Amino acid sequence: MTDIIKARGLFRAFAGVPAVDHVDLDIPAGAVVGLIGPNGAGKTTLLRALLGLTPAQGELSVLGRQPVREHARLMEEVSFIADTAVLPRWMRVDQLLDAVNGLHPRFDRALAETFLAATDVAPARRVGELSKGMTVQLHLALVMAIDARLLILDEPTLGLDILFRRRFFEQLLNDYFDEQRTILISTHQVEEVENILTHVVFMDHGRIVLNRPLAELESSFVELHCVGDAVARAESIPHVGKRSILGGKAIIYEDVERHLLTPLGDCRTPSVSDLFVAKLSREVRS
Amino acid sequence: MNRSRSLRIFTLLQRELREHRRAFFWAPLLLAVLLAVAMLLSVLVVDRISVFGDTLIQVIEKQADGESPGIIIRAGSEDRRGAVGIGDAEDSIDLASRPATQDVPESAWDFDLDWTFSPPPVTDRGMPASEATDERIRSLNPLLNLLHNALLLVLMIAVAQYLLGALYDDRKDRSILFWRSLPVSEWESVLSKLAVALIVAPAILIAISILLQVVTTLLAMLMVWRLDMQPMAVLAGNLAPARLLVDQIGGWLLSALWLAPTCAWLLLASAAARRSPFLLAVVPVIGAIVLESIFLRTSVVLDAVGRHLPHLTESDDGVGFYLFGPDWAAVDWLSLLAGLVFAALATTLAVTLRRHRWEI
Repeated sequence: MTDIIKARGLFRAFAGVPAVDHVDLDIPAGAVVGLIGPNGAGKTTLLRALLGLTPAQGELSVLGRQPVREHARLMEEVSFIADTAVLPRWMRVDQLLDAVNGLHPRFDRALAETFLAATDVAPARRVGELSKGMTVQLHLALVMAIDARLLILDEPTLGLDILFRRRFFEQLLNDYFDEQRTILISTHQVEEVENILTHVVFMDHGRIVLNRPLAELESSFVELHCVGDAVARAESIPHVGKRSILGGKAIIYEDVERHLLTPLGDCRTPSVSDLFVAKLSREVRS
Repeated sequence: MNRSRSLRIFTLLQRELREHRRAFFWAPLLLAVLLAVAMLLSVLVVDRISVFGDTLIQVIEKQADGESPGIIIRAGSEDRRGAVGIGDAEDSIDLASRPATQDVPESAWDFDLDWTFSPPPVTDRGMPASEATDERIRSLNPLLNLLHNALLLVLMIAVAQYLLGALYDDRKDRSILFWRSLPVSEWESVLSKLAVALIVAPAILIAISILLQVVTTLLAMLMVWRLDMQPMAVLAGNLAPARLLVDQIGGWLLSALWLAPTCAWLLLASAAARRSPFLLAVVPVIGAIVLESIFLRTSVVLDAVGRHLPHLTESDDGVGFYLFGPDWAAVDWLSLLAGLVFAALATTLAVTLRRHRWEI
């Protein structure tokens, strides 16, 4: 697999405070990457740098192009939803389709109309009149009808209810994703995306804290559930993080042989969200 | 490729016109309709109360007395000098009278909304000619001038408002994040906005204006007919449509060149502003003018700005916002060129700002 995003020492500061702090990042083609971090971790700045929307120091290449200098060219092969509710409110839905159709050579209008037919978004409605959920559905329909190689979504479901969020990611996976495409999703709601990802990238304070294929998490991390006397012994082994569970502790270890832990309790692979909390709270401590 | 390129340009312009269709299309059209209705009413009640009618009845009476063989319909009296002006009614009165059937030199006739029906000088009733005429002309000209200039004013306000918002509004409502997800370079998008301001919006206004002029011509024919004269004969001698079109379209293209730096400046303010594009456009210019006059006691900036603003008043050497025939000989080519260089710089800067510093 070839890397479609390559970043080395990417840096961007606002008023002296680094938002993206010397980030190295490689994203392989065909991956579904979750960029996960708390609010203010620098996710948006990183994504905007990748899209050429904001200049950053360091080396950066997306699909072999320099994002800031070749922004317009890059946008032929990269789609993004940079924020919810950024569609022009004065436009009618059909006018919006006209605009994208006239300006994007890889846009399939019929496909977008098919997607929209399955929603409540009528062509004659004005974007400003749509509910937040419908606006997101409209934006997703537009983006999915573009034959792009890379799709970047920055908190695409922010402020939506659980039904819309579910449908959003399901549709993305069923109707859009294939081996040829790469999707990069940023969110601070880990559970939402956990089951569709192939890679996770944790970000905090402008730095990449973790960057692994999901399959590798299983071999690298173990979550041990132990009760009673075992807790004290388990806690003495260097761990990434721990939390209380009913009657004992759940402790997450990195690069510790599973068979060493099995005598102490129940071993399993930690969920991305638990791993995220463990990793991030350790970052805060250190 | 070629098809997709023209489709892109069409789509970019269409987007702007759709967003601003009220300012660029409906507002001038509504005004034009109001103007046409006002004139129609004048014609319909020509023999009753209107001042429009009074003037004409005077003409008819004179004709009946055998004093004047015809009526002069002189249109576009001010535009001979190239600018569209308010006032100066006295200057624009043509007191000469000729028989309607007599051939008139083509160049003597312009035609726009501004119709002057000039009765012949009153000399035999002990009343000074000029006084008597002024009174009547004043009653007609200001009304038409007002409406006509209102049409231009609507365009100028609309264009200035449009440019100040063009690179600001989408940053404010964050829809720039959507537009920039499309493969359109900032050059394309900024130039399309400049083209709308300088070419497309004025073209729409001229189209509406020409339509209005046709309506006015028909109304004039109706009026002449009601006065029991031959409409075709009167108008045929008084109208040169080819010359009219060349003047109007040529004048508008020259105006576009003159106004390019002003428009580019407004775009730059729009791209740079964090709060108010209007203040950012106006305050530095006024500041520069004031500082220059205090410290250098010169007025280079003021003169330069003055040359590239649309003039509503006419002047002999100044170059105005022509919609009806420029005075090509009076063009200050150096100032024009300097303005275009400035426009190019301001546009480049606006594009750069939009690429790198679009967040508010």
